[in-house]
Amino acid sequence: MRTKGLISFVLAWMVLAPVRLTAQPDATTLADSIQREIVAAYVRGDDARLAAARALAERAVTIYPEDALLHHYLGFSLYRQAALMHDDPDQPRILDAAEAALERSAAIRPLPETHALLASVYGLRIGANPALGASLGPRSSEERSIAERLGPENPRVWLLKGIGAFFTPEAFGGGLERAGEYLDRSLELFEDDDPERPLPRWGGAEARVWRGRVHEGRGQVDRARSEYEAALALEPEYVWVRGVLIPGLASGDGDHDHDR
Amino acid sequence: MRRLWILVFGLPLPASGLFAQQPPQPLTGEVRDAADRPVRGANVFLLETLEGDLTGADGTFSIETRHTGPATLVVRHLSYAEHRVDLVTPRPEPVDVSLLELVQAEAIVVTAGGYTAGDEAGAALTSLEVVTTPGTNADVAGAIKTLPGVQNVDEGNGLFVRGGDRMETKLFLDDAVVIDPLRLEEPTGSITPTVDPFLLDGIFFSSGGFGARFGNALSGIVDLQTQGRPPTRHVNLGANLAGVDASVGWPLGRDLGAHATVSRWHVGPIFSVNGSTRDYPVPPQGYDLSGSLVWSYRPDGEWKTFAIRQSTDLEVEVDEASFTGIYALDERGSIVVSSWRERFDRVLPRVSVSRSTLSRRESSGALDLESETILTQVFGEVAWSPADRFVVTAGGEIERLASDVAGRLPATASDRSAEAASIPIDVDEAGSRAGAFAEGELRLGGRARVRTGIRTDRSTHTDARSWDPRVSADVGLGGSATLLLAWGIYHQVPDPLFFEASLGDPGLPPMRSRQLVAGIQLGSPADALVRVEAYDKEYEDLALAGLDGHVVGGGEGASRGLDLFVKGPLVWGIDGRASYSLVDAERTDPDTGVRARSPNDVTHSLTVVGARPLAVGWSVRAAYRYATGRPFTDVVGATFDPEADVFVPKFGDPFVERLPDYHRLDLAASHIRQIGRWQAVFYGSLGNVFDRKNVLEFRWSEDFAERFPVRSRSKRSVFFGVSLDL
Repeated sequence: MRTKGLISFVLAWMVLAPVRLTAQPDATTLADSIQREIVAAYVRGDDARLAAARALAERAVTIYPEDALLHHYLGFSLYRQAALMHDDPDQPRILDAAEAALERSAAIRPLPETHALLASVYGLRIGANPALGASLGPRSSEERSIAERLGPENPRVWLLKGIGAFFTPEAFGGGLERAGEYLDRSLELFEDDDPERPLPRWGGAEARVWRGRVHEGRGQVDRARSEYEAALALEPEYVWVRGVLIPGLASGDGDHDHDR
Repeated sequence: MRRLWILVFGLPLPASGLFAQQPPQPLTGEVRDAADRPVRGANVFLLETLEGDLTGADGTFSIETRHTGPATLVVRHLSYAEHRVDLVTPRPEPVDVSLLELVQAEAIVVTAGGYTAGDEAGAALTSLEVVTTPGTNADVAGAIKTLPGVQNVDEGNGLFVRGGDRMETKLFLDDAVVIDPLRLEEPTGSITPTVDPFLLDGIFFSSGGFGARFGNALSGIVDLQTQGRPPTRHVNLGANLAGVDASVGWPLGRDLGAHATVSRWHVGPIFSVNGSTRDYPVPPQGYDLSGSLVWSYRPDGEWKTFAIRQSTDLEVEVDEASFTGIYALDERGSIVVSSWRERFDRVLPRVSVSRSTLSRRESSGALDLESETILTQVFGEVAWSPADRFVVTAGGEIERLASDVAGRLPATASDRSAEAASIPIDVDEAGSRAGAFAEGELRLGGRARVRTGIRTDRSTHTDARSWDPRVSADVGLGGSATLLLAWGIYHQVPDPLFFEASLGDPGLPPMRSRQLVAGIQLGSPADALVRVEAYDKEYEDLALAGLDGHVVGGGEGASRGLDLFVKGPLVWGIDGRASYSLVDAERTDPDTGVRARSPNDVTHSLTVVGARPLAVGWSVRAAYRYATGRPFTDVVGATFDPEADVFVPKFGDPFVERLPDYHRLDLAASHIRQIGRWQAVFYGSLGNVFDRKNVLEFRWSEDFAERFPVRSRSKRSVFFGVSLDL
């Protein structure tokens, strides 16, 4: 009788357990959803949506603590939030969390984008406090090197390198010239970029935007406009391009830092 | 069959799925912090479904869920410790959650007498400030000397804290006691770094009022933590006027990592470029080798072994009344410390095992000593937090100190020549000390924290047990003001050599001090900070060495003063900090037995440091130091001793006279530049800009009729170098 009861229990568990499991989305679905939400929030300039995407990523890593992609997207969402902050006292805290999430992700499964984002996180720290350049500059270069080693043909690695160069003085290996070279390489690579979901697949429109900003920095307004319009063709709701960059070209106002 | 249905419907976990089609029910609540303020932006969600909400400005949340049955509500926020609540849904009544700030949960940010240096929140000095303070040669002790409570007694890296002797401040490295932090001592202090700051992850300095965790220290402690696993590979090469160095950090796989450094230093080139105030047949020189292996097997679990070996050689000409000749020193030191830390939910154990050695050979006239000291130590502690606001820590250490000293010491202070009468020394003994402590920390209402502790120590040298109760508190007064209070009893075992019958007293008890500290801090290190502390120290049973080296027990003393620390942005984009210490210290003079000024009674000590970034990659810094001249005992006459063929000085009242005041200005500049894939930091400094002839002691003519100032080693001097990150 006891054996029969045990069998009944096991049968019941087998039948019902899958029902139970469906209550929590699987890690792959979560990762893909989070990436979509981050991209959509960023393109639309929707802070609340970006915060919600980050919140979902935080929840996801709570139940899947060993999933590299979920940590990666948590770090990515935090990086996006931090990049939108200017003179905000919360930025160091957000960057701390971004760094921790990306390092955790890289420790589990090193993706080129993860190391490229880490380099950009250090870049943001240096941008906020140039005195940190001595200690974080080498770490940023090191992460960038790892990213290039892991993904020499990865367009997002070249995109982030280009953005970093855009904000780095020439004396430190940056400048418009170099930024343009890196972004051109990124755009080339985006033409054949089709990674499997839920791997990172963002950045095509963004590369156009930053290529345009390099042109604009050189005073090449028509070429900049062309790139901005190409970005809008890819992401019609890109509010930064539609609301700031293109109108800025018309008014001659070139001061529209948004991201790095 | 009936049992099957009972099983099916009785199982709590699958039940949620069976009811998945029921209409969603709201789960509401409010998140507040320990001070009962609403927390905005907290991520509140059900672990079972990931359904959640972000709290609004009023701290409230509302989650629509179909989940039924037992559930875990998780609350996360970057500034607070994660909180979980077990509940059953649907739940009509709201859930109230109180979060604890991470800075409160993780570490002591501000305590009476305590300062941290590093990159963590609340640090008084950042890592960069430690290495770039002009005039410190990137020395940890040099940077700590710019904090309040440390008197500018000399130009060395011994820490004279709140009127105490430098031996009253203990240095810990990964919880292991370092035998003697001072590496190379001359009359004007020492000149080489104690520990390379680039090896360190965190520095905690306490000028008094420290907790029961730290034993066998009368005045202050310096707690150094070495670096953890390197997150990325890095190689650094450096060269400057004082030597060359190289360091490597290497992550090995997912959890392992290693550091290694090597440096060779030689002060000769500095003397060649700048000249020297004295003659060095063998200029100070040596090497440092260090390495560590770190296994970070979990975020809260780490095993680390750190080892360092250092050497120093020196020969310098000395010119005293009874002896003109060479002082020679050859010193080798090493430390190996293996440590482990872990976290099991609310229990945090920590263990370290270490072995330190110091072999030293010094000679100068009648002084000729060779010593070998080995210190073996085991330290362990367990911290347990049974509730969010309460932490109990208990632990202890056992150490064994073996000393083998052989040679001779001059029998009198008046004759130090090679032919002078001397005391033979032959000490070969070992002693041990066992200490235990327990400490409780309670947070009250999110604004106040009280720590009470007690420690007990017993040493085979003193054959006596000491009991040290200690209490400290920090109380938020509203805004950014914090009141700091500390009281405690502290004991320290005298130097083992003091128990040698030919020199001292085998029956010496442990030395004792009572400390009372009260202060207030306004602002925060990240913005602008002002801290003022007043203190009162009483000493008993001091073991004091007289001029001729003999040891007297039963000394008394007192030290009272005020410390001020200010840090923040100044005018014209300059970031600055200033430390001021006022002290009135007295203690028994071992030669006369009367209570006199302490030799370390430097009434005013002031250090001002300013830094300003210039063009891209450039920055300049300046540091100014001032100190009242330290007390000394003057010679008021002399009689000739025909037997010894020397003049014997007659001393005046002890420590009545003072050396001239000390002033020094140092300037430094650095430039960071990217060279291909390398980052280069070029740096240079001009020390003692006005070439001030600071006097750090006097020497006398052979008949003591004439007094000559002994000038500081620091002439106006240039120093430059480059550091490359590959």
